[in-house]
Amino acid sequence: MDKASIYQKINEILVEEFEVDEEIISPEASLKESLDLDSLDYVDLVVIIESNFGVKLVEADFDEVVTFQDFYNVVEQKMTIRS
Amino acid sequence: MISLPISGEKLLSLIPQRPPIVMVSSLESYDDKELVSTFVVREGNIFVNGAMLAESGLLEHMAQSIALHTGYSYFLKGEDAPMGYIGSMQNVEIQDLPVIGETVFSTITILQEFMGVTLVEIETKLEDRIIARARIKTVIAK
Repeated sequence: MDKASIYQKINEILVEEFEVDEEIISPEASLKESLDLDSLDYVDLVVIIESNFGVKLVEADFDEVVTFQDFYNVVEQKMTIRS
Repeated sequence: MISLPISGEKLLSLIPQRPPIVMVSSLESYDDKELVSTFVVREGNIFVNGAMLAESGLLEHMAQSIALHTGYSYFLKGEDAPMGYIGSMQNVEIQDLPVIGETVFSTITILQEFMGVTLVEIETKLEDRIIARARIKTVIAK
């Protein structure tokens, strides 16, 4: 799966899971604020990433995540490590 | 080590709830991702309406089954059971309710634990028939 496909797939599942318009998602936008994530939502985020990409995110993975691009990078890195 | 099943006073030592709001009767089996609990509906229970357990009582039983999993895991680590809160309940389906004298069996499965939040799937059976399901998020008090 190439980068563009990964990003597109992540966007699709975020739109579905968090019931937001795809237009609010951009690489520079804040993940937390755009999706209105609270502490309970992060566990859902971990579940949907694991079920769709087969990688398990841990708390430390979110240390540097601010934007959607940061999040894409984390998922992509995890997928690279796995393969 | 406490051998399974666990009930009575030993069970109470594993959960923060106290009578009259104890809605688990026994811990039947445990591993780090799954637990089976029971609840016997008794006359006089505060969640019984007429002869039937109220939906709120069944949901409380489900939530306490999760507390039991947490409590037993802490017991195995040699620590006291922590206080926890229900963060959310999703996909709740209740198809039937037990009556006085009946015993329900609930299986909880830990789907994910992240940043202090535990996502659990729970299925409750009455005589091998699934009567309720839910996804519950719990948060341990710090």
